[in-house]
Amino acid sequence: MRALLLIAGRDLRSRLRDRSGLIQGIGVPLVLAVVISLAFGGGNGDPVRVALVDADESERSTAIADEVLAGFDEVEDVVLTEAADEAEARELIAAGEVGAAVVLPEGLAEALGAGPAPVAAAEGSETGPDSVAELVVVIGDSQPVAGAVAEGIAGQIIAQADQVAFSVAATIELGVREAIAAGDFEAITDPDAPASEAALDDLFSEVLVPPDVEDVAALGERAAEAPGGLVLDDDADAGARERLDAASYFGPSMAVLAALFVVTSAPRALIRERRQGTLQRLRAAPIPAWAPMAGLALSVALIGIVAMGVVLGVVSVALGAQLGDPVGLAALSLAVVLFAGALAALIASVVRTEQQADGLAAAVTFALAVLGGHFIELHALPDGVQTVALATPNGWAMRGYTALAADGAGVGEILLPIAVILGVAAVLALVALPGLRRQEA
Amino acid sequence: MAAGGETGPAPTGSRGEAPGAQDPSEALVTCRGLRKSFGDLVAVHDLDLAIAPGESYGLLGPNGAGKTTAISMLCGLVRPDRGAVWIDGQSVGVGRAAGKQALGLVPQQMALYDDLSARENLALLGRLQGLRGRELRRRVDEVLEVVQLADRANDRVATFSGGMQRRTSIAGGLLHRPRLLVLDEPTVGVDPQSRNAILEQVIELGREGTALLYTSHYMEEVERVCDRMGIMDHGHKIAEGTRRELVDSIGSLDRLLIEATGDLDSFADRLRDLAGVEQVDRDDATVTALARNGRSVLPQVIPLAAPLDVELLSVEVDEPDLEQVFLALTGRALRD
Repeated sequence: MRALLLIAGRDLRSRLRDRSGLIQGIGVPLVLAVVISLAFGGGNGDPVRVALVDADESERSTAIADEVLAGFDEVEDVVLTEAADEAEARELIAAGEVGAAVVLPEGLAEALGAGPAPVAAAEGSETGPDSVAELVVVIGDSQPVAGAVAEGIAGQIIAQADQVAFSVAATIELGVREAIAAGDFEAITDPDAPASEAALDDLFSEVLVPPDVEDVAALGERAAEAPGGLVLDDDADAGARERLDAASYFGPSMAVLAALFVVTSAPRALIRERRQGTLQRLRAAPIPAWAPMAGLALSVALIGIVAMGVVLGVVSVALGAQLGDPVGLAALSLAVVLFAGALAALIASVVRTEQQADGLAAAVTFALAVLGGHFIELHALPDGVQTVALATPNGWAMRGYTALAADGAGVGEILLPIAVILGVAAVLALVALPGLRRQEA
Repeated sequence: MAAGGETGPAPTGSRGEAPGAQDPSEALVTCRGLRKSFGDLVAVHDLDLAIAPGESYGLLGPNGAGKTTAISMLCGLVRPDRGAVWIDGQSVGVGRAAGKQALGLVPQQMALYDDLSARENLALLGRLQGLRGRELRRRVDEVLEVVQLADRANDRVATFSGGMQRRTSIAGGLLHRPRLLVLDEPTVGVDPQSRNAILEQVIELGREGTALLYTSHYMEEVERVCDRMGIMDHGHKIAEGTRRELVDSIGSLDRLLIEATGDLDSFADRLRDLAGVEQVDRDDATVTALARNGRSVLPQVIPLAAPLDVELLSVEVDEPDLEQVFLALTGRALRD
């Protein structure tokens, strides 16, 4: 163990002194993460497509749908399309034509008028027993950003509904609105009072969908009893979310790339050690046979972890990337480093020169990066490439990172990506072993 | 047998099994039947070798003769196809620490981390050899003094000349006071001045009792450093012995070149009568004698001159070198 640590420590020291290596391994992916996140926002140039379903088909729901659709008319990065019903929306998602759907449920108008505000329910989640209407958000597997946008739309609808209630409550409690101050509140809440329509129009002029006069009293009572805490999504928040989404994707993406760059530099280091004769010298020392290789592997693994940590840390702190569950993040990142190590072993087993090692490592890393969705989000890739991405461990890693960041998944929910990555790593290591043994013989 | 057992070689006492060497049971290093192939190429054919404690042994041969492969097997870096190696009574093999404590290796390459200083390189190698703390620091300082690099100890090796790097590399092989120092072509890529300094240091190590295994394709280096040597060609050890034994084995004669004035005809006649002298020729002021062992004849030459009023101006003994031995054994020059 002492020999292992000595050899790893020596290699670490050399690598930390090698500025060009640090720039290539950590600096470049870090800069790419920042630049791509800022440049592409959440859209990556390819619009996010979301379907909207009005299952209620009431005057209120139609008004909501029209307002939502109109609101996205001038948003270049988001395309909102109508679907006849939830089934059609699911078909569109399955076909990849949209990434997610928002379903305005049957009974929405009634819920907005008399009952509690609708509850957004992502598919698969459980709703509370008191819900009377659920805004359903259906999210496909391939476009997590579309899912985030759909959830944002649903949240905005709910918030608008609540805004009505809170406006009424505020009016009741504070009496600050001019229209109310000049008039009679009782008259406003009386559906038969002549002033109520005009007063309500003024009061709710900035609200997405004004409530019916009959609903105001009930809304006011509900709002007054509500604990509060719902927050409106204003434009600034929406903009921040787009940038955050990009960083949340491209941060982990570039972190994986950093790990691949750093760890696959190990074959070059191994060949250099052979060429310099230092490896022979180590092997002539009275230390275990595995110590030189294991020391080198430990060193590059640590540097790989540090490289990933630096990239993830910077995008998290500087760009506000949401990376999700830290345990899941750590487990997935460790699996990525182990995969990169196995890939490095395979490269080392087939190359003879440092130039070959560099060339093959760069080619494999870039091929994996393109196929795995490191430069273009997976959902934006052609269907065929998305399928190919399933064959790349780093593509699985990106699925895992996306699940952590966008879906709030925990480590238990990304076990499949982790298992696939580790499985591929094990296979690569087994394939590499005979070649490495031959070289050491 | 792949790489030998765990115990020392059975004492055979047969010089036939380890030609020219001492009893293998007393040897510091014993190799038996080492063979290594790379594909169809047999790099080393059934090599037997024995080196006594404190002996300086040279492996001489052209590039590609199999010297480095032989050394790699001996040091446990390459697994032999068959045969076995024992160092200090312990079986040596790839991946085994046994026997390696007695071994100091100076590989053909510099074998240094050029981004580290000389001291850092040596400290790392010392730690891997099991040295610690104060003893490690003391030994690093000592070997730096031995190779005359104490004043550059903290400089990065990358800033060193080839000769200085080689001396640092040799220092790395000495740290743990090995009983056997293996030097594989230690003067390759080194300027003549540094080469001379390195050879002096190696010879001094031999004088201090460290056994040396020295490979080179420079015959003069091997002649200068080693007590005994083996000549390798195409993976075979084709001859072994002291320089004298090797020269004698090809039947070549030493040449005595004597410049003198006086009655050179009478002087030449008297020379012909000396034991060991096989042929004498006279050419103006020079008398040339071919003798079995020129250096043993030389003390008898000088007393011959005075009674004949011959004044000796100079006497040289030109001995056949290993180049001629190699030529005689293989039909090729050593550097072909």
